[in-house]
Amino acid sequence: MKKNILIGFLVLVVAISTATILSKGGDEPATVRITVGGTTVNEIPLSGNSLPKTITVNGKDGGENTVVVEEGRVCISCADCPDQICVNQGWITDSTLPIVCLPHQVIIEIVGGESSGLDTATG
Amino acid sequence: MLRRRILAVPRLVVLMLALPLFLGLTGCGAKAESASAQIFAMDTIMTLSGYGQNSQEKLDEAVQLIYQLEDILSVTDENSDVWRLNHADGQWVTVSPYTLYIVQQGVYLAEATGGAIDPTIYPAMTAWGFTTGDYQVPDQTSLDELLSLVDYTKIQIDEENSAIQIPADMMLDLGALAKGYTSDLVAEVLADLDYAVISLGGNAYVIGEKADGDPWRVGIQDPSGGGYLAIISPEGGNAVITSGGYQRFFEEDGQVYWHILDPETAAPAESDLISVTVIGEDGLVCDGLSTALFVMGLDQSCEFWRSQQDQNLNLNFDLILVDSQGVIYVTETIYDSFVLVDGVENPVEVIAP
Repeated sequence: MKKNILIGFLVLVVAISTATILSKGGDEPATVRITVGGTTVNEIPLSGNSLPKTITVNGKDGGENTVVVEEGRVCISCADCPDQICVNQGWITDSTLPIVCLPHQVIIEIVGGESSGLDTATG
Repeated sequence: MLRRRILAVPRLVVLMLALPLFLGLTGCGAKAESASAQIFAMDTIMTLSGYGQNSQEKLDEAVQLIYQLEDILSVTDENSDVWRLNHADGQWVTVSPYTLYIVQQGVYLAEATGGAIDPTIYPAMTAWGFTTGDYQVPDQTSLDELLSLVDYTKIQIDEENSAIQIPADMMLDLGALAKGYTSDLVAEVLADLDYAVISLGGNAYVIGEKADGDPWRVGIQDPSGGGYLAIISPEGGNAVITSGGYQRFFEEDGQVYWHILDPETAAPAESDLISVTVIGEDGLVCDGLSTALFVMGLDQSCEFWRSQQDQNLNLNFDLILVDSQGVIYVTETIYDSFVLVDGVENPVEVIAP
């Protein structure tokens, strides 16, 4: 009897945790997610003692993008892609729009953290 | 956002994140669900998200439509309407109704703006390297030769037979219109959802009313750096589209050359504006006008906005302009739904009718 109650309790805890995670994903600390060709290659907290941090991302076609993460913001500081659109975009500070390097198939996006309060953005 | 040409982006970069996100505990019993999708198409990243009945099916349908439009409007895909037109050697080409409409509207906007946007700008875009990223400054002789190839009045349209003809050597580039048009067609697919947001590489379109009744909040990127300058709250059913010279450009000998070309010179537009945002129900119109008004500059843009009623243009739009001094100009009709982002101190002026 006691065992059954314990199992029931554990099931309940797992269920509540899962529901909490599902419904409150936005409360996770803000993280920079770097993907190449759709695969996540790095995740870096957007806050903390390890910043500022500069890393090199190896994109498709042998391309390289240099990513700088500072407290609360991230940018691609230089890249050897032809169009330089990713560099020109400058810093992003929230999840509204990612930085994209199309030639290298690199995406830098901020996930989690406080909502920017924006539904979308143009520019 | 910036005009990006349509390019046949390989589908291998397709990132389908089409996950139905049930609303956790609060969603119990409700059939409506939220869904989102993120894809690469038309040389940019696109995000669709929506809430309502069958949201996942609607988003899937929208994604298929985007790929279909990309196939038709690409300048590099040899099977596309645009490629066939550009390589038809002056012959008539039968095209899809989508292509027919976008070219018709492109010619219409070219006429309405006195040629400030021209769908035949492609040879000039290529000469400057904006189609490939191999940037270069063409010499004046080349520019003069290019100018003879940029002339929207030479486009022949046979509506009855859904056919188009352009002279040999001339080439179409619908990149300044395609994403706006795509947002219109996607908005039709998502129209029955409670609410949805379409973001096509920084071109935005909002649909419906949010569940909490709060206004939509669309950030306008700061053209002089990271972050946002202002927030506009359009009604559902509106596109918000921005053009500027600040993302796609190159520097040579200390001179900046951006990708928005003046069809009169085949060279980067000498504009006193650095960012043009057009808000309106017709995404194609907003997209085309954001480019055209950048070319026209501040004074002409204000005049054009004022004259939209009496000219029978059948255009209905509002503007947020940023000039090279950082002054923001907002048309009076949307001034109440416009706010600066906290900490931004740029001067704001109202454009009165």
